[in-house]
Amino acid sequence: MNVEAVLREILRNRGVRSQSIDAATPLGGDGLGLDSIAIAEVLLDCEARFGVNVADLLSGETITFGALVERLEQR
Amino acid sequence: MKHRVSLLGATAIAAVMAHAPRLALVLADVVARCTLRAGRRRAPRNLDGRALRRFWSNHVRHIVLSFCATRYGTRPLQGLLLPSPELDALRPPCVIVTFHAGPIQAFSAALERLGRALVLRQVDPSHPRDITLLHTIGGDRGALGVVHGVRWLRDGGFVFVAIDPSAPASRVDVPFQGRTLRLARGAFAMARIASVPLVPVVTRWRGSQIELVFGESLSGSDEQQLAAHVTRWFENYLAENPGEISQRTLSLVS
Repeated sequence: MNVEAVLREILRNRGVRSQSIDAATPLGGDGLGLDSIAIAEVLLDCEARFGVNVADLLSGETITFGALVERLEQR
Repeated sequence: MKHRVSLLGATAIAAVMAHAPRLALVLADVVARCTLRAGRRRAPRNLDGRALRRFWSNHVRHIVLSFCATRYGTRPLQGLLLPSPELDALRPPCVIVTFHAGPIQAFSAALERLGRALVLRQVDPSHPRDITLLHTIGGDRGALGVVHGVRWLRDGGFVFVAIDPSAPASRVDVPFQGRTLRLARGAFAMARIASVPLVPVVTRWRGSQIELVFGESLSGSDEQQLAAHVTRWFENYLAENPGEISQRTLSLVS
């Protein structure tokens, strides 16, 4: 399964239309502009799709597209 | 100098509270009476007489409880909490929400009675010791807190959140006393995502003991509606108990 493609699909389903997403793009703030609730829903979608508690792997850091892909690939 | 004296006074009364909670409350009330003029400056303009005294007494008691809980843990509060049939009747999973009104520190004792409660709170640097219980997560990591909360609810637990936040968070605006109150959205989002009911509760003093006051629980998928329901309940509660409004809530009204 191509993690990056699945993550892009999850983001699309959550209404993210941005074409210019790279590894350094934060999900919130100046990046995709998602608020904390929307980011939580993306993480929960990832957990449901990949069967891994991805939020536990991200504690304490700014959540970027690349970090999320990396953690999901390491699962 | 004045600040140092206040700090010293609060620390001393908190030390008394650890051993003799009721005596400490008497002392706190004496301080509140002696400093009522300061209370008048901080209180909403519509408060006077008994409501103003209540507001200021709550404020001073709150400071003492915070100092006590920070330094001595929440054990001294256990004996102050009145029995609550509503608390005993609560069944998980559900989201329990509160406002910073009354002696909020007493929730630690209440939640210990419930068991399996996840407390989501913002990290307050003035409270280095964990005055809540079981599991806390910083509100500055809001998304991870929501994920954790939803997982906890799906596993059949309680999640407890104060919805009047001190730090920026994802907000929901609701009408309140003819103005707008900005609440944190997380609790309502968790209830929606996990499809669980949400129940509002506040604490208040009954003499020298602490009572839990519950609102009606509500389920639903509309966060705005859930927030409006909780706020209406709180508004009605404050209409009957105007002195119970806290400076925290006031700071979120615009």
